[in-house]
Amino acid sequence: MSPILSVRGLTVCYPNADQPAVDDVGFDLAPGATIAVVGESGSGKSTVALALSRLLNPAVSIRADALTFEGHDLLGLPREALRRLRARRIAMIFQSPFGSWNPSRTIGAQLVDGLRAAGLWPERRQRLLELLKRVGIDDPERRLGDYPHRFSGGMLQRAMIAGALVTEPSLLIADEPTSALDATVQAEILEILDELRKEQNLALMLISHDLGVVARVAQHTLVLYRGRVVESGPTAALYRHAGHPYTQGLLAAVPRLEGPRKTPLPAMPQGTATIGGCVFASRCPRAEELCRTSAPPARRLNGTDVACHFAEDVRREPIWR
Amino acid sequence: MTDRRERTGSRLLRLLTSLAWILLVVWVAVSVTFVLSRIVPADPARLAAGLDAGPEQVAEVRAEMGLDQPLAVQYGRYLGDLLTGDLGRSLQTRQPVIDDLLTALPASLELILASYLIYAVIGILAGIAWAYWPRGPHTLLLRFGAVIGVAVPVFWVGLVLQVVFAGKLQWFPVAGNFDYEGTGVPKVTGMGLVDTALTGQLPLIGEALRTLTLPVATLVVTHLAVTMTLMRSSLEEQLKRPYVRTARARGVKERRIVFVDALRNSLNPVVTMLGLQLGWSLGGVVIVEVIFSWPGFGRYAYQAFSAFDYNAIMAITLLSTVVFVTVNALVGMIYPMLDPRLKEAR
Repeated sequence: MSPILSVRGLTVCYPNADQPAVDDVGFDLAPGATIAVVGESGSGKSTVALALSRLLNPAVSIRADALTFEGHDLLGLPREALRRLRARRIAMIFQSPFGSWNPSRTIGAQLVDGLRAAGLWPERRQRLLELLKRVGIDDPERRLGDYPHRFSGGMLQRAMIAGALVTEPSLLIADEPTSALDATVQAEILEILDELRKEQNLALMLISHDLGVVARVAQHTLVLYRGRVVESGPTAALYRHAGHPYTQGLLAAVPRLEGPRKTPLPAMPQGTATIGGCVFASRCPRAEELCRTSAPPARRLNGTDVACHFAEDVRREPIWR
Repeated sequence: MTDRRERTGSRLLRLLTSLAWILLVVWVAVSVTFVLSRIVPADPARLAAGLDAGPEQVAEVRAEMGLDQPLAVQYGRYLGDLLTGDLGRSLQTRQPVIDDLLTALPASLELILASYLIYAVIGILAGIAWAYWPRGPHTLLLRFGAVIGVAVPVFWVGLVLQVVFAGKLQWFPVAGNFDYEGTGVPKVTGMGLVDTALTGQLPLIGEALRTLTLPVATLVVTHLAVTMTLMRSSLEEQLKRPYVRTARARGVKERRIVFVDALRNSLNPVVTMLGLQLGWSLGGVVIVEVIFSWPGFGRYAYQAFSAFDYNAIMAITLLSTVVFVTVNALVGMIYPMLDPRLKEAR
């Protein structure tokens, strides 16, 4: 099946930054499939999401060898066409539930705005109410008249999901959709997302710093460090044979209920530009001279594409446990 | 039903509380001015009696004015008179101060209302346009206007306008307000533009407009910049909020995002500022009225302060305070209309 979203060599530069925030990122997403983009804060994962939907400030430069969605070149699309695409085909949900809603307008007014933009008001009204009920909002008709401060964070995120899916988009970009919520709500929201994805044959791009979340829903995972893909592959393979020290570090940082406390990753060093070398070299215990001078190319190893000179060694003798 | 009655009751209570606050503030202001007017080393009796008066005459005038009484007695008498609406006589005009004020106020109101409407509306619109189209040649003009308005003092703007448009070009009169003499226009409101408009005679209306133009322009130029820049920065700040990104991600049109989503949230500081400006407006017209010999409250205040006309000064302070606190209280009622969270908190 041909991919719905195809990204090649995506590079994003903020003005006055000495390093690109996203550097040569590429992946494909098939209809109905799920891909996760993981990394710490500052790894560039949210920038990838915003670049795809062209929601970055116009002063930010976006380059790519290819950025196609359902046959449209996202970079060359005129404003109005792009707006229509956002209204109907690409939906997004964001991290902060309270910030993402206008505090002075009712939930209903804001959701209706989206439907109007998509040209689906009022015929999708009933569908919106159904979806709201479906994501767990009781008495949706009455709740639509409420202002955001009457909702909890989890409820706002549920309403956001209903609003995103009511237009039946083919791609949903979810940028840390559950990070601001407590663990039980998090699980529920993920479940709802995954169910609806299956029903609507929706391709999902999930952005998260939490590998535990990713493991539950994504078939494919992309690990981003300082704007570069350090490792990518099927999520299961990535878990079993992480070949990049950074992937291992992230996995080791997932909290567990049992067993010894895990080793945390050392903090991200500030402002150390790694020109020419591996982006992770300054933080990697395994780094050698080679890592500081030459950037490792991505290569296929046991099912994942890993960008590390010593991936075989790292896999044999994991660095973090 | 009880719920509603309770709500009406609490609303009444709130109204009474704010009224009590207003009265308290006014009382404090009145008392402070009273004390200040009595400890200033100037002798109103001497001024009232005139320069030629001898010591006996001054003493006589002092007794007549009650200034020989103890301070507490004077204060009590002053407050008592105040409650009956008696503000005393002006030393300069020999008229009751209340009559002076009632004659002067309409002229000032005309200036204030005309300029306020213009700079509030233009300032808000220009600020929105600036935030909506942040790049382009028009920003140069807006930036220029903003700098002029903030940096250049009122009297300078007024004088330049007088020199250029009244002196050189002779488009507008140099000074004075609409002259009723010989026009047959009845003095209904005391505001030239309104009274001539009531007659419906275009040449007269034009004349009233001509006298208004320069003083109003001076006030507009010097007040527009603040409204405009505040509106712009406030709206720009809102347009950076995550909810705007959400709306964009939903494909909502940019115009709708600006006018329906962001604008309402950005009005809060602008309303605060416009409220303060209206509250200060009585003080703000002093310089303009003096420059343009506009026979309003500002010029009256200027003359009263120059001559130490203490009854007038106290009345002026009283009126300015009342206007300021009343406007502030009214502005406070606007916020809940802008923010639903405040509405529910009431």
